[in-house]
Amino acid sequence: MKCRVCRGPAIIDVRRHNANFCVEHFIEQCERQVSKAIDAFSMIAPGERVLVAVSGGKDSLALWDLLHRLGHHAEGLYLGLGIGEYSDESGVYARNFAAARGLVLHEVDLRRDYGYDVPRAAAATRRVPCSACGLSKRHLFDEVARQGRFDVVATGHNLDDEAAVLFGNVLRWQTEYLARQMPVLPAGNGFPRKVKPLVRLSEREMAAYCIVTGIDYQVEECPMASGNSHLGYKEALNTIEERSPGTKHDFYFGFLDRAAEAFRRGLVQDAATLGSCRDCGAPTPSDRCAFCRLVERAGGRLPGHDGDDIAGTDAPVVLGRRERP
Amino acid sequence: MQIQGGRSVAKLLNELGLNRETVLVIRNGTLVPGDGFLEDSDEVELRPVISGGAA
Repeated sequence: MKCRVCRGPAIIDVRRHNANFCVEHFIEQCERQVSKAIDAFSMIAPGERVLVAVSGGKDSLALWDLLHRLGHHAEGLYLGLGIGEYSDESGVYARNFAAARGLVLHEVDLRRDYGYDVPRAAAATRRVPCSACGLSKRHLFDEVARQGRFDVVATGHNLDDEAAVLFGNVLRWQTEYLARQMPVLPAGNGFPRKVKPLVRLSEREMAAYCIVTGIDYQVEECPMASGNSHLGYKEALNTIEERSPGTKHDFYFGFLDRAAEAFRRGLVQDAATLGSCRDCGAPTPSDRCAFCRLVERAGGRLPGHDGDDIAGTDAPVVLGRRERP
Repeated sequence: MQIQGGRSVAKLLNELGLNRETVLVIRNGTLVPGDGFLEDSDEVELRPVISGGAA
């Protein structure tokens, strides 16, 4: 098996491209695919400050590495989720990655800074852990981006992630979610722009990228994600992909090219009615945002609400109560 | 796990019932592509690549 570019020995086959690559040209291929996604969807303009959501896993670390290689100003944000040893270890991978490259890593710890963690939030809300985890992540990415004056938040969602989410949304005809499932969510109403520069790369390619570039990442999967429906969708799609390489790409990009706009036209635009959360100031359609309600239900507290503000700790980003405009 | 006899990566994964999209094969720190041949004496790591979080 030879590299498509140089005819040297290949180390990976990318069947949906009917191509094989050596180390050097596989890295180039990954850089090219990220650049193509950034350009095609106007994700990041030259000179913009990017906040990368970093978990310590392969996708987020590969994304951070690729954005850095491509010359973007990218700082990381790691959230300590309080999921036992899994979270302890994931933080080490994120910190080691940043330190080895001299990159800036911001940290927020749910337990230290908000008095709760994902397992406790899941128990309090009686919903799957991924629900409380996702809500916490989305809120805090936005919050840190606003306070740090970042132009854009970048997440490591790859082609497999997006195809699986699309599959789930189609199976249940979640038309509102389908209208919002884009590789870019524009800034507006107090929310920063959100981008997914890895949408042209598969999960397997991201793991391979980490291995060939020497990125040490957390291989262990989140123990709370085991058996979730998202994994089931991925398994189903990969069964099809193995027989018909390129199916995931065609499914997702075919949706973007031919169907997404139709769902967007049907979306009720309610963003203009957003107010500010009375507790944290975040944009919300109600009096209090979903995150503040979650913190309360989980028995936590917002920084500054009980004299236990995280200011003065070693946290690089200081989150405090925002005043209502 | 020990398996007797050399074979290609693709054949090994097929025998183990593993989807090629979900795993990478690493030999001595180096990736081995689907048609790469594994010798009887090789020690390899089968690394899963699927993550579960959708948030």
